[in-house]
Amino acid sequence: MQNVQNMMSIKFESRSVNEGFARQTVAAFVAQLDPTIDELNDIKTAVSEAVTNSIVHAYADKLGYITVSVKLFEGGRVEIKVKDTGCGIPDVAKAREPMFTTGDDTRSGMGFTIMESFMDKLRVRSSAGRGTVVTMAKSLALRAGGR
Amino acid sequence: MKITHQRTGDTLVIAVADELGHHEAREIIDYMGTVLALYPAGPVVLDLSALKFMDSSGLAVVLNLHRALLRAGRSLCVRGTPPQAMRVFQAANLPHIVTFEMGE
Repeated sequence: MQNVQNMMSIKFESRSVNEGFARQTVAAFVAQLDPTIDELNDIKTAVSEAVTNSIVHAYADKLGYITVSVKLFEGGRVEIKVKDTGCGIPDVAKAREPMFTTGDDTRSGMGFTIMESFMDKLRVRSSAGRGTVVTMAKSLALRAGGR
Repeated sequence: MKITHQRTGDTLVIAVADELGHHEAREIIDYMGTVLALYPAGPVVLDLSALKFMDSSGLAVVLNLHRALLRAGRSLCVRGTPPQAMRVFQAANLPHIVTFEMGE
């Protein structure tokens, strides 16, 4: 098991204006590992998807809190958790299918597919009425000169 | 987010700049609906060359535009797509559905 090198956590209200804040804050924190631009963009995109899911689906008719936690491990592994205490996802397997959405015309149903494509690992735990935790991990490529 | 449009000959060019996430998507979709009603004929170009970030909300925006133009018998070409946004489009196989102009 690799040691945690650094970690941080932010908590914010489920307002759509906070989507940009969340992805930019995570990107700024991960930047200390010297990721490539592509790696950083992948992480920003995945965080944006997870946070947007919480805003659109978990707290569809109300405001709630979203917590984003990031752990940086020795060797360049990044683990990100996006947690809400909203309505939960009734059928996680169905929700993860490409093009499936219960949202309006601003949603494509590709959020989980993007998270899966852009990160190495994706785990979704959800229970009705209690909320959802999305855990994503990505190992950054070793750079010449080490990390 | 910034969205603008201009008419060049019979072509309508809609340009989206800065960031395109869920927070921006509604305004963009509504803007496009208004502009398409204002100019109800001719090809449409979606210029994304000044886009700095896009998530899957951009897929919904482009698919909405594509469907509206298809219904009206009009063509759509997406141009100037930055690499980050193109990765999102490719993950959804969108270049198989919508025409993307590669390069400048």
